[in-house]
Amino acid sequence: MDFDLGKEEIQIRQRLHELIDPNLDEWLSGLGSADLDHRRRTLLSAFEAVASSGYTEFVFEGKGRGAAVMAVREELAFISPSLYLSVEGGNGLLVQLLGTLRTDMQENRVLPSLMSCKAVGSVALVEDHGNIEDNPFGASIEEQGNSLCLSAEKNMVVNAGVADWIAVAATYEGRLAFALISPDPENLEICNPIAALGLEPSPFYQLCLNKFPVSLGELIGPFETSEPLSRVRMWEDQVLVGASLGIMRRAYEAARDHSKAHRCGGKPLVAYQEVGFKLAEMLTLIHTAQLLAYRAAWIIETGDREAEILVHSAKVFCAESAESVASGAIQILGQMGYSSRNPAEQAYRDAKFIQLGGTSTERSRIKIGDKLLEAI
Amino acid sequence: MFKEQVIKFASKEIAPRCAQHDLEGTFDFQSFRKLGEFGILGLHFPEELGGSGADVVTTVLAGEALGEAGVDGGLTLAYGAHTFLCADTILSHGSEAQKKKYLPKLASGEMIGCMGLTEPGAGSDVASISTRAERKGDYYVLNGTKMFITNGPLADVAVVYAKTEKDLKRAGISAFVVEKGTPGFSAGKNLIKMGVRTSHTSELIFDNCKIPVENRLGNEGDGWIMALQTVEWDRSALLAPFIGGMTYVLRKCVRYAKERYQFGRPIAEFQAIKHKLADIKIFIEAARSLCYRIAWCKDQGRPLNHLEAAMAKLFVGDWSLAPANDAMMLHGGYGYCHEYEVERYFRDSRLAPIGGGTSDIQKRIIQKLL
Repeated sequence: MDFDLGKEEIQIRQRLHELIDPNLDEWLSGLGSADLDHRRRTLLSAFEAVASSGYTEFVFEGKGRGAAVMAVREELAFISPSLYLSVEGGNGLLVQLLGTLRTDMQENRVLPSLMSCKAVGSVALVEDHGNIEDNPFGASIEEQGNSLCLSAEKNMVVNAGVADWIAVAATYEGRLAFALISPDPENLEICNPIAALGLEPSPFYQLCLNKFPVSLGELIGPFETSEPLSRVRMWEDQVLVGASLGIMRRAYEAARDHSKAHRCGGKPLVAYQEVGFKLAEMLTLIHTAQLLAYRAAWIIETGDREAEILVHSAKVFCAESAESVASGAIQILGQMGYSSRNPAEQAYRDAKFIQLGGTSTERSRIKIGDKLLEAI
Repeated sequence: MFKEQVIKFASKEIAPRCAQHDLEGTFDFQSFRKLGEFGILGLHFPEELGGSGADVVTTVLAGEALGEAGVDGGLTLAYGAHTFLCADTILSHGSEAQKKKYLPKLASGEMIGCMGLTEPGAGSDVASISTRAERKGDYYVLNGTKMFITNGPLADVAVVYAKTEKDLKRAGISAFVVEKGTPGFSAGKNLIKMGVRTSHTSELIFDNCKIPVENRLGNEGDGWIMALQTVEWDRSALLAPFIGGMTYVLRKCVRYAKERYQFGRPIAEFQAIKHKLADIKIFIEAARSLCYRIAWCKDQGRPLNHLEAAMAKLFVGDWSLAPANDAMMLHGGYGYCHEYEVERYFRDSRLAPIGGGTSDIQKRIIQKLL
């Protein structure tokens, strides 16, 4: 239970603020631009700041471990959930995937630039039906003469429109495989930004590929089982848990600061039990979510057989707590909280994605239930 | 593993006796002594005082194990009040003579302990207690009444908080060890409760009760800080059996869901049932994270961790109500019957947001520390 922040985590968290906060508004504006080139340039500028803070070395290159990594993730998500998702849901996920399942070519050519955030990465999983675990991928890799080609329609793909590398999950010879592609606009039929309820500016794209050429060296797999997909899902869930911690803290701090600064009836709002007690409940949820998330991040590395249940438990608890905390924050902030671009209303919208992204909270519960039924 | 040894011991020696004692509302002296013999009651005491010198995390593990074994909330509450609220206060603040006199017997279960703090007119507002301890030469005279005292009617020794300076608030509180049979000291009748029925709860009445000066714990005015220090135990070791109990209930739910058929299949196959199982498990894991964190902080020598302690108590109390209800709903009509034990857990768990400072009190503490 030693989840106190170490000196290094504290430094990285401070550096993130120093390097990102002064430019954040400009970057968020650029990341929402209709011009994809401008988006990409902006994202790389922001990535550079993230890397300079020591974040990528700590999180992607293995300098930090378990709970400490989660604590650093939380801070980036606190600063900007959208930027966080580009860093972690794009590059982070692809780094994990290649770090575990790579070929030599991919390791030498692709991984270093993704780890240092000098290139933009993306992993394309989700399709129209949403549930990628029970349905086979519609995306397929097929042989065409002596080469391979990929056809896919993917949704909610983080960074896809600005990515240097995308790992696309697909079926190859009836088995799971990933095609690591470097997008070429001429072969991308559609790569549209998706406007979303939250996480502004939206890091999501729709990705359509029609017979996109894939070399054997760009193939990851095929795999005999779906285990690699489960692993990617678990990493993704961990990324979303980190996002939820940042999101709920952002909403809470806005409400807490307001309740101290805003006076009513001659005393600050926080002095009223209706407000103070609500903040107490919110803080309790945040603290509990942090401890559960840190513990889940730690236990994954131990290889404990309870790890899967704990990760799903953290995903459900953190995702639902994020919405609950954000809702409480809006209530305390009143009309201010209901106004656009207030951190609380943003958090309320952002939190919804955490519940449905990765393994949805419903599916997570089913998985926990199945594991319990299996174990007891 | 130590935890598994405790589960094995308690499952065999104690849990089978719980249902009947709960039904009759009787305290299980035999099981209490067995807890002592196994080393649970004084686990964290030094060896020379009858303990094993365990750290706080290990002590919390033992408490969780009792719950997981199916030991009822009444007996674990009695153990908590005895070991942490009474004995630990003597261990932490008593003189060498006091420690030697009481702790070995408290560790073995030969003596039963309790703590007298709450009064009819003062609960969490400790500074407002009105029990008086007037110094008269080499003894004090205690007058007043304590309320809702776990182990009150059974206790051989009580740690009692009283005002030695009635005009002072916190600084006027002192603590005393009072032995059963002391003239002027009596316990009221056992209060019949909704849950934790095997623990006995009563008033403690002090009517010109003469206590030797050597029975005072620490210095005059130290009582406030002593009472505060019990809070960390209250929020970790006392919560642990309750969390373990939820694991016990979860296992019962899983087994029942596999055995109970409806519409031609086990109810475990219905998504809504899996969701209930998951929600109980999520609560357990969240609560464990908080509880062990408090224990770990105490092991690191970080005293008076009030904010985290209050959050742990608030969460375990308030957030346990839904999963406890889920467990009963999952069992349907059987869950409402004594035989299935789930209703006992449901009743016992209702104390969690009340005892040791209600959830509103915890929110008030957190509010002040925001």
